[in-house]
Amino acid sequence: MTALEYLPLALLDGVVSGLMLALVALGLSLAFGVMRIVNLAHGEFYMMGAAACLLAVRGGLGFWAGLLAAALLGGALAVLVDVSVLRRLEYGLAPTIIATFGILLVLQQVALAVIGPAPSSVEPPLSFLLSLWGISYSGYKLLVAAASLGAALAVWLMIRSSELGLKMRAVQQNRGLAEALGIDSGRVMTVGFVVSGVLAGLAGAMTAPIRQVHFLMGLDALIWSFLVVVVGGVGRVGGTVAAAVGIGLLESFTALLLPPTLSRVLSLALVLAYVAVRRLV
Amino acid sequence: MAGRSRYSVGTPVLSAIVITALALLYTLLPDYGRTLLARIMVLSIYSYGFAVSFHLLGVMSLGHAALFASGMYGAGLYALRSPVGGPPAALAAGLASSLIVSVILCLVTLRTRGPYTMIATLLLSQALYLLMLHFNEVTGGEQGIVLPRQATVAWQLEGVLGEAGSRYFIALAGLTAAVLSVLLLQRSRLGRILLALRDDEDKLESLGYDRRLYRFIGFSVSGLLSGLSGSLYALTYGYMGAGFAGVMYSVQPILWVLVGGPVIELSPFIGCLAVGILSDLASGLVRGHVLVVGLGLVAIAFATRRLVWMSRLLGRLEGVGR
Repeated sequence: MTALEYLPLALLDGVVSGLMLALVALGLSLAFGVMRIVNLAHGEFYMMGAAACLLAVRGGLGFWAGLLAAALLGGALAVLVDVSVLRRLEYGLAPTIIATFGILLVLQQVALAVIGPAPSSVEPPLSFLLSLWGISYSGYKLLVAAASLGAALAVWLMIRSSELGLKMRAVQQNRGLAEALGIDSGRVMTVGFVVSGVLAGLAGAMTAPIRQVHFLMGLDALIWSFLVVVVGGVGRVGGTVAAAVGIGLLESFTALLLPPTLSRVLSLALVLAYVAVRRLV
Repeated sequence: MAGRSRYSVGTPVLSAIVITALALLYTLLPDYGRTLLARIMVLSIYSYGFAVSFHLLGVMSLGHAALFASGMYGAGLYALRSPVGGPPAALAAGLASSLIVSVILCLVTLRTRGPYTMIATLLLSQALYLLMLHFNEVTGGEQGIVLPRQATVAWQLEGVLGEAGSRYFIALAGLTAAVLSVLLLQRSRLGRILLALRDDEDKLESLGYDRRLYRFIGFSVSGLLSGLSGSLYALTYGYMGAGFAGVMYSVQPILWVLVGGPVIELSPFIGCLAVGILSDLASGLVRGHVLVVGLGLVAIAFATRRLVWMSRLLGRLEGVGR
């Protein structure tokens, strides 16, 4: 096959891997974009979700129980981190970054102790191939992509139209005024952070059958999530999804010409150039 | 806001006492203690490099490992591949490569503020780390490369001091250089301009100073010190690895400079020493070192709410003001 014949596959793979990235980045888009919490442990919530799914499958409970466990674990970790650390730091930027960096390292060590140092794979719950434009493609991957779109839509609707979303935006814009109007700002932050944690956990479990589960997988997820949140425009869920798909496409097309690591470095360099030129406040 | 410690004669005298004590301590310590202290001293030079950006520039970088590792590879690869000039030339190569990376780091963060500075620096160091992993035939990847003994400074001085002794005193010389440069910088015109840049860059610019130029200079000093540390690490221990560009080495200096206290001339070393000894004690556990750093960071984040100097220091970070 020549490179040209790979194009439709590259296109599809780019969109799908972009949507998978969007699924991980959604929680961060909510926490960082809407609530301005710089949670460096976000990738570790994702990793713990994948690990929970792995343990459930290993324990014979099956993938769907693992998915549920991952969501619960992600939410529980978020509550724990928020109530015991972030709230007490009053979400100050520098202390939050320092503390969540520490939590990142601690969670990595916990995962290392539980699932061990070797990467493990999880069997997908459904394995079927779909034929699209003459290409066979994993049905499970398409399912994850669709779930990602659905989750993005739900988060967008939540921020835009629900009372919680309204309160979240109000607390972010003017905390004192929001509190004067009777909004329990601490509770709003906690609930929002928990949604972010649940999303990260779900993303980890859903991508576990596609990528391998490893205790160091969180950092990569964190970096790429920040990247798409920043490029897509902070606080804009649609922008996050668009940026993720853009990056997915960029990577899958450059991967036709370059080795995978170099294509990642290229995307990083492009984003860095963007950050260097545009004033972001 | 001029802290008394900054201009008083106390700090230079105290620094001299610490350096002398470290030299004398060599005769008292057992071999294991000498090795541990030598490593801590080499790494604390990196801690000074970070402190220059943290205290003087008001930038909390999450990517300083890129500066450390580029110095390490610059020096190590030169020593490995070129027979010309020996260790001094290798050191120069290390310093030059970290200087280049510090210029890139400065460019990337020139227009960012607050969280974006931290994200941009994290992305940059990750890009360098991925590059090092990719070109693993050159860099040795995570496993790294062991330099032949003949290429290291430790070997060159072995006849005089023995291997452990030469490592120890090279580390001490580097540490002395770092302390001296920070002492001099603090008391120079340049140092005061940097502080003014940190505190109010608009005012400084209106007085006719070029904001970018001084930011470049500040980053270069920070990069040179970090690169000195990386170069000395490669040239005394004869080892370099991509792991040193990883996130662990970017985050540790944050802990060091905060644990050490408010005095920029001494606290980077004191913090590095305290964390180093604690990590060494904990290394009996499985990778206990990482846990110590992780829990230490959470603890220090809480301490920033209690200790006035810490919250002031963090409050001066650009775009973070509370």
